[in-house]
Amino acid sequence: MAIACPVDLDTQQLRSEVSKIYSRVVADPDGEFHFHRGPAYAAEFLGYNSEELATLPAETTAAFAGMGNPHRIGSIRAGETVLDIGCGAGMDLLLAARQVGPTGRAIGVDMTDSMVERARSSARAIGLAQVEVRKGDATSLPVESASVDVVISNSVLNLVPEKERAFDEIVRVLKPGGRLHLADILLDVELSEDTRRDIDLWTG
Amino acid sequence: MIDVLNRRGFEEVCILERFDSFRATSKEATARKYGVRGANIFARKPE
Repeated sequence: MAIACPVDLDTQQLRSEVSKIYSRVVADPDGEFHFHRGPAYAAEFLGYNSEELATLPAETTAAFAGMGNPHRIGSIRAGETVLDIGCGAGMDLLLAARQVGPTGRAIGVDMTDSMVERARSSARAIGLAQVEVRKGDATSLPVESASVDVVISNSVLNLVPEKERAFDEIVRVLKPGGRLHLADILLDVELSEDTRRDIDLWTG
Repeated sequence: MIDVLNRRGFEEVCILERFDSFRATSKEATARKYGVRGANIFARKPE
């Protein structure tokens, strides 16, 4: 089910609210939020491998707030280039980096400064030189065209009001035949126009 | 979102798994009202 963005939604305000919420997740992952965070949730609700998560920096897994698990969608092969859109603190990105190995590339993009810094420092901490984290937006990806084998994303695109532009960007950066492993939220009912204008509902 | 993927020309678009991601959160009732659940989705860009 697609969610059309109302033409008068303040997209800058929405971006700002989203950025504020996820900055708060990095600063205080045990704080009060309307969504689950952390490795125990990831393992129990989403089927992540808890032993594998335990090998990642705790400050990365603590700030995980995805709603699905892109690593259960399909394989990522050694030597491939993976792009994680809205990589956050980097949990999915680091897992993908291990799969592509030292001959591959794992590129993370996030619009929140604190998330970018957390993902970079976590990759350095566990010696994953194939990780590169760039500041950017899903609707204008700082990535070369036709350069990516697999795009992954976890609960980011639902927060992007200009979804058509975001998916145009995914099409642009993927190689022909490239795969999208998308974890996100879907709705079973059509939302009213008023509901779609409510920024509180977009951000939780 | 599935409609957008299809409109953008993706192939093999499919929902592989759903998750009750908001269970036991403060927004569980809202999520149930609108049928909001996590999902794993696969799609492929045409050759």
